[in-house]
Amino acid sequence: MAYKQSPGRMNMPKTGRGVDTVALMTGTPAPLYQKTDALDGDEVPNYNETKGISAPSTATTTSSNKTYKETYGPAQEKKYGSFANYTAAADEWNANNPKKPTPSTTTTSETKNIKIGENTPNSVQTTAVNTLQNTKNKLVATTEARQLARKKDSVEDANKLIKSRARKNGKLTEKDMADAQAAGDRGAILKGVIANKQGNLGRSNESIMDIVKSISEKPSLD
Amino acid sequence: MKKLLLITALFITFITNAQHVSNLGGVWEATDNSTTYLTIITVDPEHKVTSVHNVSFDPAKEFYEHILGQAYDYLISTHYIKRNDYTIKSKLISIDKFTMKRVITGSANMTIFYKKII
Repeated sequence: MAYKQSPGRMNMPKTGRGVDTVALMTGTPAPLYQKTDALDGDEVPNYNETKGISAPSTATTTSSNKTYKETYGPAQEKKYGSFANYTAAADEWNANNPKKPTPSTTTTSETKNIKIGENTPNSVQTTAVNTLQNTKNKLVATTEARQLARKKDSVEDANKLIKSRARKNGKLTEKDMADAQAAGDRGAILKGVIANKQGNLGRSNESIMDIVKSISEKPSLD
Repeated sequence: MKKLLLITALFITFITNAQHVSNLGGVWEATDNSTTYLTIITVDPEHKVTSVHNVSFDPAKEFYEHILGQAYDYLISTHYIKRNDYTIKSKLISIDKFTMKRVITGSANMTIFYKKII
């Protein structure tokens, strides 16, 4: 519903009502700490502070930008009689009433980076990059170490399986070898062993320990 | 018809991969100055997030977030700041490769958008 104001009934609200006039007059600067950081609850400093500088101008210009000729018109002619008289009167008036230099407000803004502790925004970014790189390197190293450990474990598991089956049954069947292969997830070497000893390992002249030894000596199975 | 299905499948793959959690890997900066922390997220070769690390201007303020779980396109983590008794649970959502959204609940409730800087 539109509000219709009766003319003269009440004044329009003044702008700035409720603002502390003393604060306005003293120009209280904005607080440095303005809000809290969302991630840790600390007060966040205004890192990019725009600083306003007001300085009086050193200009001592006393004359108007307009020339006498531009300001001379019928009214001046009527008052002074001629342009020469007007010019003389104007010169005299200006000499007696020097215009005070107007302190023009020159506002410059500069952005400065506040240094907190030992860090600046750039150094934080550098730290972040280094941390990321170090973490990545550590991750790659850890992954490689895990893979190596897995390979070692797989060889050891396969060897244990071969030994146990051989001791239990007296010989290795194709299934034993397949199980060993599955346990170790290894292809080439065990396949070679299978090819050589297929179905006949128990009667082979080569001892089980020799086979195990031959596998153990070749840990690179992939 | 086959071509249409193929194109649709490719398009769906493209769209879904754009939001994959592995896109969270990198250094992230908040776009709205709500936090001064840079968030560093590392992803392992199996495309799982392994760490969420936050660095700030003050080296003493660095902290890791505890990862509670992760799904296809988001990660849930939590952290506690003792000096302020400040507990935050975050849901880090991958919008695309260069945009991340963090929805925080707990001591503060808000949404922060990040852009990837590295």
